[in-house]
Order: sequence, then structure tokens, then C-alpha cells
Amino acid sequence: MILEHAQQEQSSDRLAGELRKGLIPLAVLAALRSPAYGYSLQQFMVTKGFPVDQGTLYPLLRRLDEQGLLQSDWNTDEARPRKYYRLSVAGANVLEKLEAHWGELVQVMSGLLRKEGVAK
Amino acid sequence: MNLIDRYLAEVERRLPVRKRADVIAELRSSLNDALERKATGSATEEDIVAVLRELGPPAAVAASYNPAPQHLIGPAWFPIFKIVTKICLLGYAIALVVQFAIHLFVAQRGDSLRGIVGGTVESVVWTIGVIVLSFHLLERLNVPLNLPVREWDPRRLPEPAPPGDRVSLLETIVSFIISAVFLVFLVRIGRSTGLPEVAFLPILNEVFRETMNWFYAAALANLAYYALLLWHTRKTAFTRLASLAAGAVGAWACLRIALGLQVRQSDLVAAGLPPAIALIAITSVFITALGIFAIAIWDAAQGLSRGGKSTADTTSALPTC
Repeated sequence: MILEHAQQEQSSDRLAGELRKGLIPLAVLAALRSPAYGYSLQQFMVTKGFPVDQGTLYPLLRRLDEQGLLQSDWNTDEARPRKYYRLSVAGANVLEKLEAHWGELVQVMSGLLRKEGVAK
Repeated sequence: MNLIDRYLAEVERRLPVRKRADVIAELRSSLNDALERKATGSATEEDIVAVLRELGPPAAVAASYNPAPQHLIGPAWFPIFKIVTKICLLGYAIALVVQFAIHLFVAQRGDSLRGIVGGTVESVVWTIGVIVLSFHLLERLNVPLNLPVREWDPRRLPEPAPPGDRVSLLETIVSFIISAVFLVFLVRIGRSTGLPEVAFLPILNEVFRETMNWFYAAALANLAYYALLLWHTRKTAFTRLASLAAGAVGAWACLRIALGLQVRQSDLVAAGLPPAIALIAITSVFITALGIFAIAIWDAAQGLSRGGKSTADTTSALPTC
């Protein structure tokens, strides 16, 4: 019984992890409406209740940058040089579409999660 | 060199050259930011260790920056890789059987059996290595696979094999190996001189030696049959025909032994073999020959009757809406 409970916990953790993983790019794009550097963005995500590992976040920022969805610049004015990222024009367009898609998904999922089940 | 430098050096050497400077500068900046937040005063070694642990092992961090595939052959090329490997393995299996046949029938010319098997195993390993390397290069060079897209038609799906046509992979492989071992065993017997101190054994040896080539042929036919089964993965009209042919050759070899023994029966008895034993031996070899042939015929007949039946079943199973 204890083992069964532990397995259920494991399954729900794994599925929740997969669900979150798919949402990370959307969350990052949304967060980068204002410019931020890697560490500050990571801290921002923590405060927003959507923590992302540094090992996931930094490579993702680079990939989104390479895809043209973000713009990046090194800022050397501060005490420590930092690479700032912000949403590019293309990124803003993609974010808009993703946002609309997310709205639809939330609606659909809310309907599904109302525990009505499939009508016979 | 402090821990951060050592860590970044380990990440750096795993990164593509063109990315190194930028990624390392960014990681250094982020690590220092994290350290600044973690340590109240000057950072201790424990603080640095904690920050580096949070980021992850250097190999994992470098891998997450590397867009190169983390596999040898990807899903796009894998089906082609499998077909090429299968064709090569089939080629080697045919070559092996042909070499065996040449070795056995053409006055045992050419390499020794051990040489043939050893050479084939070496070539197979080498070939598979080259195939894997070639496909890995195609994968790494991002060569696109432009196969013509054929419209998929569910009506073309093969009928599931009826229980009698199903082939167990393990059973077939084991049978193939047993046939190969039997062939090697036959070769050894064919070359042995027997036990000359028992008077009737030279006569037996003579009878067997006259028929030995048919036994070789039967063993080779069996090997070919199991290779065919492995290729088709189910019994078909073709594999049944091969099974029938292998059975017929095996039965013929046994029949030849029985006939040979019958012709030399009086010599055997004169040389000291008890008449009852001689009769039992001849009868049992006859029965074995008949048994082998009967099994081959029965298997082929079953396939034929099932072929007709399954077509009728399919037609009657169509929905009537």
C-alpha cells in the first residue's frame, strides 16, 4: 500500500514536471517583455512561483536568441559584464500567438477538468 | 585555479569552439551573481560548491548548450540503417553457406571451417561498424532524408499471421545454431576413420561415407531454411517449400543409408553384427526417413489448407453495413 502510494506520487511528480517543461519557453518569453540578464530572470521566475533550473534556463535563453525570438546585448557599464535579453519583434509576435493559444487551452482544459467525464 | 575556473574550464572544453567565449562569459557572470546573493560576506568554498551544484555537472551543462544530437543514429535514418544492416547480414549468411558448401563439396578446398567462421564474424563486426559510422556521419552532417512520400493505405496492411504461421524468433535462432553445429559435427564424422578394431565398423563407415554428401546437403538446406524464416519472420508458401525441400533431402539421405545398409546386410552380419541389431538399425533408419518426409509434407499441407481458409475467413469477416 505504501509502495503504491509512493508510485502514485512519483507518477504525478513526473507528469507535473512534463507539463511544466512544455510551458517554460512561454513563461520565459512572457517574462522578457522587460530586459533581464540570466540570473535576474531566474530570480524573477522564483518570485513568480515558476522556478526554472539555471541549467535549463541559460541554454534556453541562448536557443531563443538564436531563433530570433530574443535580442541580447552585453552590458559592460555595470561592475560585472552581464548579457541582457529582451523580446524581439518576432518574439513578441510569437508570444501573442502563444498567449491566444494558451487562453484557448485553459478554456478547453477547464471544461475537461470539471469532472463531467465522457457522456454515454 | 579556483573552483569556478576549474568548473568553467571543464564546461568550455566540451562546447563547440564558436560558442565557447560567449557561453563561458555568461556563465561566469551568472555564477558570480549567484555567489554574491548566497554569500553574506566573502564567499566560502561551501558557497561556491553549493552554487556550482545548483548549476549542474559540467558535462550536463555543456550538453544542454550543444545542439548536436546525443545519439548515434536518429529516428529519421534508423529505418534505412536497419534495412542496410539486414541486407549486409543476409549477404554474409549466404556467403557463409556458400563457403561451407565449397569447403564440403569441392574436395575441401579453401579455408578451414574455423577460418571461414572466424573470418565471417570479423567481417560482420567490421561491416556493422562502418555502417554505423556512415549513418552517424549522415546524422551529424544533417543530410536530409528525402524519401518519396507514399500515401498510406490501411487496406495494404498484411494479414496477421495465423497461429500456425507464427515464428518464434528465439526458437528459429536456436534451430539455426543447432543446424550449424550439426553441420560441423557431420564434417568431423566425415573425416574420422572410425574404429577399425571392430570388424563391421569399416563397412558401416563406408555406407555412411557414400551418403555423407547428402547429409551435408540436408544440413545446408536446413540452415538456408532457418535463414529464410528469420528473414520472413513468419511461415509463407516460400518458407514451406524450403522446409519441404530440406525435409526431402534429409529423408533421401536417411533412405540412402537404409538402402546401403540393406545391400551390405549380409557383409555386416558376416563381420559380426548380430542379425537382429542389423534389422533394427535398417528399420529404424527407414522409419526416420519416412518420419522426416511425413513431417515436411504435413507442414506444407497445413500451410496450403490454411492459405485457402484464411482468404475465406477474411471475406466473411467484412462488415455488412
